[in-house]
Amino acid sequence: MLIEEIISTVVGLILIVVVLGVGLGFLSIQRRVTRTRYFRNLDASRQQVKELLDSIYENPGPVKDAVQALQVLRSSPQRRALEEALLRRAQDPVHFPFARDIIKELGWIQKWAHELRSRAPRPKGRIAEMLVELGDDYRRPNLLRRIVLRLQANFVRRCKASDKLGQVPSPEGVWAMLVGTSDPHPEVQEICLRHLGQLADPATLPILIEELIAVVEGRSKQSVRNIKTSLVQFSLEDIGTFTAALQHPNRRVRFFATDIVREIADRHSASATLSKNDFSPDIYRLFTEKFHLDESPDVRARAAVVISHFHDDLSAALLRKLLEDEAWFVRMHATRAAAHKLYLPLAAEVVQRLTDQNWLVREAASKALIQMGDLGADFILEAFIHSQDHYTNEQICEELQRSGLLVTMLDNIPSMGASAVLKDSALVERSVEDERYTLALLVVRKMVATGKITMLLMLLRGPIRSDIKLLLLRELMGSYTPESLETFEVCAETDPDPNVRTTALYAFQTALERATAAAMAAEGAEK
Amino acid sequence: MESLRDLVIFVTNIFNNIIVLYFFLANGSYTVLMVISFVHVWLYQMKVGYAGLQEVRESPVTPPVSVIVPAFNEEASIILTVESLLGMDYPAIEIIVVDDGSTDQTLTKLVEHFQLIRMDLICRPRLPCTPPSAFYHNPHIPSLTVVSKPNGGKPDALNVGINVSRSPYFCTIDADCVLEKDSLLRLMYPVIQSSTNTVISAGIVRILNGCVVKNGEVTEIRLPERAIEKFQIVEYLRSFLFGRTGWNMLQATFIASGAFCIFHKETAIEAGGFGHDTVTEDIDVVASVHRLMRAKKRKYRTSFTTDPVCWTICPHTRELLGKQRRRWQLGLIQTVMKHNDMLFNYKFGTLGLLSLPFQTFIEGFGCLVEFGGYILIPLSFLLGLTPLDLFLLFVLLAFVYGTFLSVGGVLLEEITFRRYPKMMDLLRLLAYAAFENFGYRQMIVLYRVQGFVQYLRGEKSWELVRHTVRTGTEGTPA
Repeated sequence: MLIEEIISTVVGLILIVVVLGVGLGFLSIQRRVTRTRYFRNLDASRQQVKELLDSIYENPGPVKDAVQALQVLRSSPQRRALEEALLRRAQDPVHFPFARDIIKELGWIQKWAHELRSRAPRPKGRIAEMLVELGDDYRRPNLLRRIVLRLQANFVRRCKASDKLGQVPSPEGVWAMLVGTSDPHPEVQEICLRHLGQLADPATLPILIEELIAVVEGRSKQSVRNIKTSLVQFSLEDIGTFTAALQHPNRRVRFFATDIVREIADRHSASATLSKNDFSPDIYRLFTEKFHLDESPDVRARAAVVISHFHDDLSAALLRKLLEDEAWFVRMHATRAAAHKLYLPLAAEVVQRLTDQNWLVREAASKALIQMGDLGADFILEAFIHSQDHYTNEQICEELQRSGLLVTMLDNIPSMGASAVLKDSALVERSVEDERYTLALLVVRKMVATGKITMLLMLLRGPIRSDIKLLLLRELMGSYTPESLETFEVCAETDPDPNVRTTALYAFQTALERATAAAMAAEGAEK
Repeated sequence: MESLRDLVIFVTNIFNNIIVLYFFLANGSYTVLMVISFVHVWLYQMKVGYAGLQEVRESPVTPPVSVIVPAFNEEASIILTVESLLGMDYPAIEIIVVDDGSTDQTLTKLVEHFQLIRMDLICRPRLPCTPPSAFYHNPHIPSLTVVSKPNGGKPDALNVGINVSRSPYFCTIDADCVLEKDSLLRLMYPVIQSSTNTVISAGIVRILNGCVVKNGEVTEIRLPERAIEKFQIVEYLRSFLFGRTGWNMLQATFIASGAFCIFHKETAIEAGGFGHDTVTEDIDVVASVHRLMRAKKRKYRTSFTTDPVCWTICPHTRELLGKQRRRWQLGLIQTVMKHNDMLFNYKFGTLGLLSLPFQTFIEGFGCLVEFGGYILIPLSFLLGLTPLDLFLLFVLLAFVYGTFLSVGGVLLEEITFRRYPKMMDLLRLLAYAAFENFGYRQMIVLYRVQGFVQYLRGEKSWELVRHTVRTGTEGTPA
């Protein structure tokens, strides 16, 4: 190639790139200018719409009049502002009926339904049956409009239509969303499923369960989490519909169905304690007769939590069994399920789980006992005092510190004279007077014995009661680690209470003697 | 003498060809990535309106996430970072700050500010790491745990964090970062939405310098004062908005910034966690995860999302920038060399066939070609191999193409996020995009070449970049 040709090619390239670069720069500026202008108009429109809607809501008349009044809003920012305002008002239960009527009268619901249904295949199977049951009287637009819709309503537009229909619940919207669950685009399906879940209309539950099965069996592109999120929003009264899924031959379907029932029950139990009467007899039978014996440990694990919501003798007996299941995660879920004051009778069995081989079960057991209330906490403290198992001690110790139980326990020690703490007889006297004191003392003693003294040393440096500090100093007297020595020294020098300072000084001297003796012994052994 | 001249001419000729090839390959790749990213980001912006973040926030199915913050001498920024994490809008979050043997007041500040109590907690190591020396916790702030350990480097601190974490996903955050309130939710969104196991989800990192931070939140976005910081903003926009977005679209993510990235914990553990043999452990772990998943023939995906924002402080002096870029280059070369068996390996799909060659030859070795070009093109002109006009035109073409790509990054920002609200900011960004190629780019190339030399010298440790958070008081620009 001649050098001139190369030069002309390079010059051409430079010109193209410069033009493109300058074009992109101008596009950026133009975009900024137009968007700024648009958003300024939008803000003005929002204000205008707000004033208009406020006056309509203050003097509500016939919907047609309201729509007539809104006809002045014609520009794109005005229509957008109106849509935003009406959708926002539709979220408010007080304003919802009027907002929905206005939206309907404006023809938006029909427009969104047309858009959403524009690419979906003709309903068949269960969806078609359901639409008939629900009285779907949808009339397809004429051919020309259908062609236009098909060209215009891309998947983003269909998603938006579905989202808006979901925000303004109406029969037409529900029908369209049911059809939308078989839209060719998975995102449209996802939005439809999400809103069907949020509306939680029992009539649509079978479709969602069918989708769950399809997802588990790999026939759907939806994510399991999405479909679960939709399904867990249904009510406890609706879980009878899950019966088929709960008895499905595929163990993963059974697992997800059980897990969804568990989530629904958990959600309801947050506001009120459930009983077996809150569940249908079929569901109750299924869980109490079959699921605790299911071949899949996943199902048994999730079933344990559902069973725990029955709160009757049978459920306690089944939980007791599941607490000893062969699979560790069944034991873990059963332990977590028993974490309620009403299951205090199971505390002894939960205590057994503190020595479980799996640390997650041990952790669940220690948390569960604390959640059982004061009596449960007493169980865990007793277990700690008497346990010889290193792992159990370690686990309980962690929970005592993390949950703040240790601090609470020390705070709750009845106040007593400083001098009494130092007398051995005081222990005997106080143990008769107040078991709490003895319990706390023994817990501290056990912590010292297991070497878990870091938090005790920190408490000594902190602003806690002097009598508690004296108790801690007395129990820590045998410790001569560098941290202990440092803490004793700090207390001896800076504590505001003279008794604490004196005792800390004594503890420091004792610890120092021991540390020196130990160091000399070690040196001697080395020699 | 004549034969020496011939040799120089021969070498120069070969190198000229390499430079031309590199120019077309690099700029061609960037242009393709830019086009892909325009489409992707545009679509993403449209989808955000109906994304359903509220549902994810309220769903009991949303998985918990452990946020791991490795901190070494971060006394200036650590409180700000942890406060921004505590204020995150996410249903189940566990924050683990790993103090990697700081010699300043990092740990003391944390303990005092959050009233932490030292405790004897249990660490069950699943990844090899230096054993923690202390745990700090406040029962009234149950989501926060501080772990103290002897200094062992960032990967070691991250591995300690993974060992302590309890959630199925963990997110790595640099200790000098500020996260936006909903960023974790947005980062987890693709994980939740996907029917395939999403093992890595990365977000965008933006530059905090110049912005106003109040109570752990960025309240006003402004451009920084110094030119060197503004150039980096343009660079970050280009790198994140169309570099990483484009590679993600091709499912060939090789680089995910450790400053803000979510990992599936079991997968990361199985892949060996964060390695110590490179100085960019975040790139290395991504490669290891890809290797593991391909070797096990498991279905997986990675995700890069452009709106969960992590604000970070960028170097504000040339010296600091040099240290940072040398480290990045050293780490990149170490990582691509460590995983060079993946190069052009069809078993790794687009990663092995496109992304890794790009990272190796364009991003890794490209700086040598560019640096060589800056020397050899004038030389070839002096030797009479290239006429003056062609030489100048070629240099101009390289510069205008670079400008075109940078302006593309700014446009991408403008049509999507428009984070910089003032018109003047946009004009400044465009100006800096234009001038980036005249001086700043050459300086970066030089740092990268130095990084390459460090690799050849077999250097393993990295130069510590100590950022200064220039926030004298809350509410003033960083």
